[in-house]
Amino acid sequence: MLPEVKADILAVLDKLIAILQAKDDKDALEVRELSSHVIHDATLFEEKDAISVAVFVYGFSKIMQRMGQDIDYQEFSAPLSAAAKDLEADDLEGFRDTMRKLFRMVSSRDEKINLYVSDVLRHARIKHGSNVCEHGMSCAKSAQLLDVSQWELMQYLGKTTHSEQMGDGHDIRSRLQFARGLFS
Amino acid sequence: MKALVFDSGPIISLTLNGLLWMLRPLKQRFKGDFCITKAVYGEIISYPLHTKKFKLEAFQVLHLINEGVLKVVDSPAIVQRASSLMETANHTYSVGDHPLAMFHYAEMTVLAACVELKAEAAVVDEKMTRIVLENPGRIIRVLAKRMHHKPSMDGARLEALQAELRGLRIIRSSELATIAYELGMLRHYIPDPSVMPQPKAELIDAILWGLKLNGCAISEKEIKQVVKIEGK
Repeated sequence: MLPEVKADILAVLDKLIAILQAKDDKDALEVRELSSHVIHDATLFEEKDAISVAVFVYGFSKIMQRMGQDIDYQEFSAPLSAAAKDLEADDLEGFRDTMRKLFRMVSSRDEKINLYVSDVLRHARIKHGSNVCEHGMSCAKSAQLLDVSQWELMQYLGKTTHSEQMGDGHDIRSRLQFARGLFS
Repeated sequence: MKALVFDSGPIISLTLNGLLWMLRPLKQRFKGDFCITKAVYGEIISYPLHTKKFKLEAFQVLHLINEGVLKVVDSPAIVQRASSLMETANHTYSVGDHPLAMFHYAEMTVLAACVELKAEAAVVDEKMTRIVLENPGRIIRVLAKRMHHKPSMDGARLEALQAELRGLRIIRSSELATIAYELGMLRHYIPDPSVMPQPKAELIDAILWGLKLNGCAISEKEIKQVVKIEGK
């Protein structure tokens, strides 16, 4: 793992642990904002670990939103601290094992919300795919990086302002004129 | 035989809008082949066939292939050229020492197939592939804003990419739908003016917004321009 990526992931994990320890009403929103911090790394370095952390953090913020005070923060603080410790020590296998455990903890939280959690984590991947697209990756590349289908990503991307950015090459009239010529 | 080569995006946006059927009459009018590469087939058919969510849509696209409306193309020449294009394209832009691998192999197979088949155009809805050919400098400005690091562009690689793809034109599903509209293929959707004022303008607006909302990179401004041209 590149040093810049390691530093960014550690910063996110430390902030997440601090938010969980402080415990206040704004927690879910603060956690959700954290998930964007590692997207630059995902785009620049195609870092699967950065993506994994971003998806987990976003998904966790949605669970916090849904479950409110019913979620036991302490239960998550310990493995998050363990993940940070593993990463600090460059124990990538240990770090990844702990991240997998955290994903399982979130998924198995409650039978009733299991389906919701799967949807949330899926949605987190699609949303971050869209973010990666906005960072300059092509649609197919973003889908590959986030392990989602292009079908899902295109549906989501269409509802963002992605196509309003960048301006365009040829103007619409000349593009239409050319297209007309193909079918005349 | 003349050809259009489709990327995954236009097939996806047309299918999600219930407009995939349009490709049949458009192909008849085109009097050529509508092609997809093996890699694109994998993305729009093979992958969703193993899921639940877009499995039915994959069957719809498969039906068009079985009917001969879409033709799957593959050759060692396409594969080789796609790999070469990908190597060049994914080293054109960098941030510091890190090249930005912005493009996927499937997208490069579309461009490679266009060159090998001497296709009239590529049909691509996603933005980056189009912009790198039509307005490459713009990418630098957006990357600079988004990445918070100064990106750089390898001029020699960009020149090599553009030289290899010289003359290649790109259209989107929005252009295909607009042409279908002009050719009267969508007239059965036009309601009586008693139902709504300006039904033609409303229909073309609805089609283009439908495609945009399902991933076609067409801007609001462009949609308004097309509605103004077509909605009379």
